[in-house]
Amino acid sequence: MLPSAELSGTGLSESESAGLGVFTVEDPFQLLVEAVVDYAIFLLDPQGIVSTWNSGAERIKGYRAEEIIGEHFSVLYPEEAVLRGVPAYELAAAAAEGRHEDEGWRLRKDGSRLWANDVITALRAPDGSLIGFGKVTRDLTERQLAEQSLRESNDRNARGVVELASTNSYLKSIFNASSLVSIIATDPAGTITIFNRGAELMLGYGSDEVIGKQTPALFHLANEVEERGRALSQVLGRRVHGFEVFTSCIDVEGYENEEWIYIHKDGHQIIVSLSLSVVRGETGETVGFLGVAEDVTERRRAAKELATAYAHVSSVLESTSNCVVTISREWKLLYGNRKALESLPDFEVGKNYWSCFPAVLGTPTETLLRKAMAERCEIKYELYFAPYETWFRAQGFPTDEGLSLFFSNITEEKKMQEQLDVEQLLREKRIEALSHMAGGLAHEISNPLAIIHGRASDLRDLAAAEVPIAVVEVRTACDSILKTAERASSILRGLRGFAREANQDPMALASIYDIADESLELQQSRFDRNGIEVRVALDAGIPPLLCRETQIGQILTNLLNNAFDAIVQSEVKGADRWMGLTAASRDGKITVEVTDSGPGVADHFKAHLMEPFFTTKELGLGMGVGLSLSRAIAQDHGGTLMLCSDRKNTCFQLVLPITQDAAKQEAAKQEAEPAGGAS
Amino acid sequence: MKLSEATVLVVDDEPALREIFAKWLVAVGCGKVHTAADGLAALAVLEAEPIDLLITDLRMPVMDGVTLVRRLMETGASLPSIVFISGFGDVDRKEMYALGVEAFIAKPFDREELLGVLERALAERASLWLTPMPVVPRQTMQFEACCFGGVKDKRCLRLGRGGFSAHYAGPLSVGRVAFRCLLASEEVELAGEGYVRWRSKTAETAGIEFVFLEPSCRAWLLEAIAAADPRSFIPE
Repeated sequence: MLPSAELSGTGLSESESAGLGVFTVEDPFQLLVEAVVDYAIFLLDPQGIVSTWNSGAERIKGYRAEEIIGEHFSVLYPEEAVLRGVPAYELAAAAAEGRHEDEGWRLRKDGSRLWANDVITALRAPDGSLIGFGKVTRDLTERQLAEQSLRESNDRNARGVVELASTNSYLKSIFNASSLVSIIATDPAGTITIFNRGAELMLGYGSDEVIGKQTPALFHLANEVEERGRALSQVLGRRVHGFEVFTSCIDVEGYENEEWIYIHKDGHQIIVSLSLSVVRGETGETVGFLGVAEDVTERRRAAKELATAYAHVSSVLESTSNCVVTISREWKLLYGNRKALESLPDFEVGKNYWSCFPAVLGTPTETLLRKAMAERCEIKYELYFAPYETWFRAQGFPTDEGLSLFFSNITEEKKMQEQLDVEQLLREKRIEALSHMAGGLAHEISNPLAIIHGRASDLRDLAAAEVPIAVVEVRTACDSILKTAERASSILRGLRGFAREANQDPMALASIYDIADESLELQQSRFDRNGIEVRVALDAGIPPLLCRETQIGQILTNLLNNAFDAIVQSEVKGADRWMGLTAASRDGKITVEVTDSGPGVADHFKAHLMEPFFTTKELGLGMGVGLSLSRAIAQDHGGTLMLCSDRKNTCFQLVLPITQDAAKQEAAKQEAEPAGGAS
Repeated sequence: MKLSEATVLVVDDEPALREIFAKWLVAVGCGKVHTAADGLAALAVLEAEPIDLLITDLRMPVMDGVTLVRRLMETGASLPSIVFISGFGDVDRKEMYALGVEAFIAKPFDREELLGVLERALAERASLWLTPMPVVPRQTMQFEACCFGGVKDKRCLRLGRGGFSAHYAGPLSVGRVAFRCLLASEEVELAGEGYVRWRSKTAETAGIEFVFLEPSCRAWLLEAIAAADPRSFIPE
């Protein structure tokens, strides 16, 4: 019975076509099918279960309809074909291509073999769903036997293989046309019966040289054959050697494909992919073996090189201290090297980049990464990744897959850089301060020097002229020289403290009283000369201070200088000109204040007061670096220097901690060292 | 003009120095020596008197030397030769040379040193640039300039009363130099010796003061300077 949907072309109703096995006797095609005895015509459901069986099938296969319907059609195949998956393959091929044709040995009910030509057609409902298969089998055993008897009449099995090849158009075309593939056939004992053009080209032997010779001796690597023989012996539990090494696998599986080394006549080695199959006679007996070999030397070499290169790249990537990450165009994480997995705990291959690292979202890095991906450009960036509290320096390169990112952890570097930046800033400030000071100093000193120089050369000229020298003139010149020299010296005294890099001094305990006295001593005469009252009020009992004494003295000198200049610049005369210096200690801090009777600092200047080179003084009076330098020193000591904005008069307040953590630690370290160790 | 014929203005806030410099000038026969304590006072003198030579200090109260030179340039009237007293880096020499300052001298200095600088500042060009330097300069500057004049073009050589400035990318430092410049448009090669007075690394320009000009170009150059009569000593 046949579904008329396929074979008659007349439409079935949907309910009829939904299943198989609903056929009517009235269907003329059914009658036709029933009547056909030369062909086995039967239907299979989608799983391969036989659902109809015509009289031709009964005749050819030997099963009656009731015996076979409901059975899987694989019972019609010999065991080795079932093991190779031939029935399942044929159904799949028919389902995929609509139709599948094949020739091969099939089994009759009585176990005898028949050579059959099968055409399997997929049957589909109008909606395209597979409802089963139609199978038409023609018994070609007669023809096959006739051919075989013809072959047998020819001298050896080799001829049979040739004939077999000639009957199979596919094999025939390979055999005849292919000079790239070596085809070698042997008899069951391994004597070469066929050696095609491809084999000649590949191995350098002429077919006449090898036909009749025993393989594998001729062009196989003895070691290789022995080695495989040993391995096979272990598996099979019996000694396998010689030609059997090739055939024993086939015996089990019917087919074998492995790589072997062939040796060319000239001795060079060729890696081949060798497919071995059994050539069977009509009754399934082995009549020989067929070996089809393809030269894969180049392919293997390239693969090996590729593998080596890959291994190399991979080992480099894995061993580098940088994180290497690749991302697909869809932002999927494809690869992360060892370092990446270590440093990026959220990294997970296969996950989306943004869901692994959401902290990047909304940052300029996101913009940059998206730009690199979209525009296929290289990028470089630095990123502080807050979740890991880590700074990364990264480079991104577009790749075929998407994007490769190389990260290095630069947190330490950043920390050092920050520290360096601070130090560099301080150093620059000092250098700038020094260069400015040098300029100012040069000017301040050059005037007195020019005067001394001028006066002295005048004196020399006087002495050179042979006329009586007026004593008065000499005395005036000498007075001028002495006075000017004194002026230069006082300028130099004012520079005390700037003369060396006092910040290299170790911290030491110093008395604020000493520091104040020393600073005042330097300036006292200036204040006196200008009629400025110096009001000093230092509290009693201020403890010694752990500091760099010279630097603190420098701050005080600076503040006193500023006060002096401010007072002198102001219009105020007489008793209202004063400078106050106070010192007090409380809460572990020493507070030193310098106040002056000057006009005060204009509000709009206050913000800039501590900036380097900012000065409110008249030209020549100051370089504008004193306060910024002083503040830097104060901060260096863990203290502060600021302008007290709430006072009527200008008042600078220096606050220093009496003991500092850093200083304490340093002192502790020194104590900890063994006695005599730090001499 | 000889120093003895010149009217000189000395500007310095240091009374002793004004006195010393004036005395030196009188000693060599200067007819008239004026003094001023600062830039503002100097401007007043310059307005009232025809001054041939101005010697000014840099740092002075009220108005410093730089401001004085700038203001002088703005007034534009007949300008004296200017010698600047300052040996320090806090003056933009490039600007000062462009404003017409001829020489800088640093305190302290010899009487002879000062008088020498002043005499050179007053000297006629005709008597200048005749003698090669006693020691051949170690650095050379060879380049081409396509035009010539006051335009601030990269390829243009700018000529002042006492030197030139030009774009020059090669290595060059302040000091003696032997220069050779092919002025294609003028079909002349400018060659001689001088001092690199300033060097701008960012703009790759340099200002060179003439000391010696090779005879092949000297006459041509004197004529060119006379025709252009630039105010700058070395243009920017």
